[in-house]
Formats: sequence, structure tokens, C-alpha cells
Amino acid sequence: MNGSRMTHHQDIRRVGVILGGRSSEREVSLASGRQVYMNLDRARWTGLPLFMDGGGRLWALPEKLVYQNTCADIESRLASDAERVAWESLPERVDLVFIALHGKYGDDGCIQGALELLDLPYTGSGVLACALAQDKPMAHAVLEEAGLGAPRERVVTRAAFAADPLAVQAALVDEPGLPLVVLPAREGSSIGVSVVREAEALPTALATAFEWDDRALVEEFLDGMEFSVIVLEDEAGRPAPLLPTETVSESPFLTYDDKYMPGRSQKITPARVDEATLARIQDAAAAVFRALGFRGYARLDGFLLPDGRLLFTDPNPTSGMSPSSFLFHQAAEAGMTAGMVVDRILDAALRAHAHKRGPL
Amino acid sequence: MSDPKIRVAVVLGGRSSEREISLESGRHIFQTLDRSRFEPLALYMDGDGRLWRIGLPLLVQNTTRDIDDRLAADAEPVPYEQLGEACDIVYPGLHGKYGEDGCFQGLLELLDVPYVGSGVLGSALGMDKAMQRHVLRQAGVDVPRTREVRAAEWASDADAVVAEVAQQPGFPCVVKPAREGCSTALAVPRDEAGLRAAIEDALRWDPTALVEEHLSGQEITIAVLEEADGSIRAYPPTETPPVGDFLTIEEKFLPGHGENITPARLDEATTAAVIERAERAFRALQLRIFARMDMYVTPEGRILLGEPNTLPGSSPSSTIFLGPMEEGIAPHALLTRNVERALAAHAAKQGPLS
Repeated sequence: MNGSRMTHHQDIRRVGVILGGRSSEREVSLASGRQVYMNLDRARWTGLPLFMDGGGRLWALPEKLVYQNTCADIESRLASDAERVAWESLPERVDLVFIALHGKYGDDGCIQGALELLDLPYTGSGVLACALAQDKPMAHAVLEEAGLGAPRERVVTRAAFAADPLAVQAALVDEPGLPLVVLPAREGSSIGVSVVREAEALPTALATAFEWDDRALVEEFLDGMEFSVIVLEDEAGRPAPLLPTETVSESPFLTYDDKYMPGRSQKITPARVDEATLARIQDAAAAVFRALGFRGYARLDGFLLPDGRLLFTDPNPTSGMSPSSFLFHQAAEAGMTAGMVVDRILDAALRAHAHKRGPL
Repeated sequence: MSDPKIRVAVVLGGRSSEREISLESGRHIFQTLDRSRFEPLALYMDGDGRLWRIGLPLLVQNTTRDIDDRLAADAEPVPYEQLGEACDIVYPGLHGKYGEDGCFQGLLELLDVPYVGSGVLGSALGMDKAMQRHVLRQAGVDVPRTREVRAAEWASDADAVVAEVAQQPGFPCVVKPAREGCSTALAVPRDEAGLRAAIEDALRWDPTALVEEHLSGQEITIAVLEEADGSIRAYPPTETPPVGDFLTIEEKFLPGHGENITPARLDEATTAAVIERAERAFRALQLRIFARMDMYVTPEGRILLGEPNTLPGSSPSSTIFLGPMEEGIAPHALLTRNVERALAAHAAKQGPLS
């Protein structure tokens, strides 16, 4: 559609910021998308906020709806105040997409696949890397094969547990052994996670995980320093990890609230370890980023254990992007404003998609 | 009164280098689907990824170009968001990039439309031979020794790559793009000049080229199906004796080319091992519903997985039909099983299919 082409500022690109979505993390996505939208450098980009509803449909939001508190608030006003945008017409409306979605359908390869079909550049990693990363056992297998280590763990399917709960329980007590952590194979943000210290608590923990996925991941309980490191691509497309953040929390693992609510967990940047250890974490983070085929940016969470083991347990192809999130927190330590971070992620997307052959 | 028929949208065409073959597969799926159970409709995916409902006159065209020319006049666009109303399930007859690699599957997940075959992750892994081999090795499945050559490395240090390959695996070796199927840009270089040309050709198709050891031995293809109870089962293997260095696109897909022997001439123990390895690979890669595994059995007794095909060629003479046929499953019955199994899998899934 030539009519929609910019006539004055040829180099101003139209960015569709997609927020909301179909996952359990859609409210977090609202905060992320709003932050991205507000921090677009208007000299370089124009923003179009796009809300994905629970049916996977897109709506162009007027400015006032971007600042609503919840997805429910937005949804109640879509019909009257927003404009439906058919997927196929997206390339006429925007030049690239900032995916500010989290969780299922948003950072697991689904929307990435749809955008590939439409030939639209988008931020972050491609279909395979996203799909790999959201499946924790699969991501751990790839990291193990690359010599980067993974926790001792077992996968339990709903069917296997239903068939013989006692045998499954006994096998888990044997390996990885108590205490252990039970989580859904494919949810983020500590949803459905339990720490199990006694065998009797296993059935409830597994049932909780099965509320979210057919497969539960049962991992050794890692007792060490928990950290989170943001990796951005540099101008040559190489992974450039920021300084890792140490996360200190009252609970034995970061809860959904700890991760996303301001003031819930203490974030210490850089992590309180010596410089050599910081560099070791950063080098390993770059290797993890490469091994999983990530592009653009990522948030890699892991543990440094007292015995010196360094494990990346939770590699994420996206990061929460609320103002106090790890992304902006670590970027600020490196002297980058939110606008600079958004610029860098968008530039990386344009570069990656310009050079791709087939899907990213 | 019989139950209402299940509306199956067979999608063909697409954006990949294999779109002409997709016409053969899609047409055959469309024609073979059991009319007493299913009401098929044919959807053509154009080069922009858009979907069009086409009738019989377009479905029997020879090339995608012939179809493209007549879309505006003779076909009806089906917007993505109307797909869920137009059909009960999608049967992708697509091959290669965008259709078989998780992209189309991702779109269908977003739209909440059930589809036949593997989910996003299984499809994407099935296409990317580099990543897939890491996962298979972890699962204890032997794969060809592989050197990945990325475009950036080739641009900056081609001489070092050539020197390394000359040492290991040496010549001849096999060069191919990491994510193409059907022998596209596949070469068997015998010297350094041939290697350079082969890598450059492969890198025109994908940012990563693979240099593999050259394997001699039997080429085996084997169908793996999900059974009604959700268990996974490999069917009798087929032997495909190669004519040249490797199966070319013509041998794989044109009737009368390529010789197939089912069941493959393997001893009982080797057959059992091939079946075990195929099933293990299917599980490790999180494939679903059905797949065709291409394997090698070498004279030294190695059993290797060459590559999985998550949407295998489905024209009348395709090998996917041969093994099941040995067990009395006719092609139309295989399609019925695939559709029924897929409907059940999508009804039971939590989040995208895995």
C-alpha cells in the first residue's frame, strides 16, 4: 500500500508493539508493552500499540487504552474504542513488530511463526529458539550437549504418574532425590512451582504442575546464589551480556510476585562475587545465548552453587520490561536509558531479519 | 443418522522451495481422505503466506505458477481469522520452510485451530538438522558426524574451515543447508574446490551449512505413528537403494523413479534396533501424530538418524504409506488415523501442542 508510506521522514520506521496475549502472563505483558511504547524514540520510530485478545486477534489501541490497568479493562472497551487489525493487513500498518508478550503463544515460537509467514521483522529470537527455551527439559538437553551443564532432573508425564504414582514417587526420591523442585515443563515466572522436602508432598506438587502442562520437570533443589543476566546483541550481532544481578528473596525460589512486582525481591547489581566470577558468568551467558540460537536479546537465569557449578536453569527469549525489570535495571547500570535499550533491540531485529534466509 | 462430517482443510503450495512437491502431496491427501467421514476443502497458500480456497479446476493445475495466475479470478481468500469457522482441522500438505518448520503451526496455535502433525517445537527441530542432532545425541541416537559452518565464519575464515574439513571428515563428504529438505543444494564434494563451491551453494539457502561424514550403507525410511492410546510405534522399514550419491528430488518424488523394498532387507536384530531408534528419536524431538524417519544402516553396524520429516511427502508412491500398508493400513486409513489422533491431541492439550 503506497498510500501508507511515509513521505517526509523516510527513515522513521513504524513499530507495532504487541501486548496482552493468551498466556497466564498477559498482565505482565501490559506493563512491558506500555514501557516499550512510552520509550520509543520518536525521532526514529512511530509506535502502534496492538492488543492481542484471548482469541489471538489483534486490535489497534488508541493511546488512552494503553494506560489501562488490566487486560480486562482493555477488553471491555475494545469493541467501542479500538480497531480490529487482520493479521494479513499487518505488513501494511507496520514495518516491524516489538513482541512485548510473555509466556505461551507469545515467547514460545507461535507468534514468531505467524510473523515469519507474513514476512514481518520482529524483536528477539526466532521460532526454534523460542520454542526450545520455553520447554525447559529440551533447553537443558541442548545446554548439556554443548557442555554448559544442566541440573540433575527427571521429566514425569501425567500419564506415567497416573499409571503408577507410587513407583514414580519412589523413583524421584531416588533420583534426583530430596529436596527437589517440581515445575511445569513449559511455564515461566515460577507458575506452578513447588519445593518438595518430603516424599509425601510429591503428589500435590506434581498435581500443581500438571494444572499447567502434561509434563512436569522434577529438578534437584539448587541452593546457591540465584542470578539473572540480560544479554543484548552488539552491532556485529554478537551476544554482549550485561552485569549479572543477584536476586535475594525470602521464599526459597522467586515467585511470580517476586519477579514482577516492584519491591518484592532485592536485586543487587552487580552480583556480590569477585570480578573473575562476574566475567565467568558473562562468558557462560554468551555461550548459552549462542547454544540456544537466541537472537536480539534474552534474559538468562541461573545459579552459582557453593561447589562452583554454574547452571543456567531458565533461559528466556524475552524479559519482563516493566520499569524496574532486570532488563532496564541492568541497562541502567551500564549507563543505558530505557529508550536506548528499546533502540538496541529494534536495531538488532532489523539487522537479523535483513540477513536471514528463510525464517530467523 | 450419521455424525456430521469433519471438515478437513488441506493446505498446499506455500513459500518454500518445495512448493511444487506440496501440490502433489496436498492433492493426494485431498483426494484420498475418506468421504464418508470427512469433508475436505483445499486451501492454497500463496507466496505471501495468504490462504485461498480453491476448487477442483485449480487443484489439478501442474504448477504453483498456474494456480497463482488464476487466484484472483477463480479462488476465494480465507482470512486467517476465519479459518476456525471454515474447517474443524487443518491437514498441512506443505513441505519445507514456513510450512513444515513451526511457522504455520505457530499461526494455527495462535488461532486455536487444530492441525495434523507435530507442534511448533517438534516441527522447528525437525527442520533444523544442526539443533536436532544435538538433541538426538543427548537422547542416545547416533547421527552423522557434523561440522556446522555459519555464514559469518565462512566469510571471515573459509581457509581454516576447508583445512579442518580436509582432515575431518575428509573427502568425500556431504554438504547441505541446515534447514532444507529434498536434496536441495546437497552435494558430495571430493576435493577442496568442490567443498568451497558446495558450502557457498548451501549458504545461499540457509545461514548455516552442514558438512557431514559420507556414509555408505543402506538407506532406510520408516514411518512412526502415534497409536490411538497415545503410544508411539514404528512400522516396517523401507529400503531405498540410491542410484547416484544420494536420493535426488526426482527419485524421491516422481513415480517410477527410485526403487523401494518393504520390508527392508535387514536381519531381525537390525530391524528391531532400527525400530527402537526411530521411536526414540520421535520421542526425543517431541514429534506428534506421524513422521517419516530417514535412517542409515552402515556395514560396521551403525544405525543413524539422517533426518526426520514431520510432514513427509504424501503423493501416491510416497514411502510414508509403505510400512503401514504392510500391516494392512491403507493410505486412506492412515489419513483417517492421523486426523482422528490429531483432533484428540488438540482437544487434550494445555497451551500449544507439545
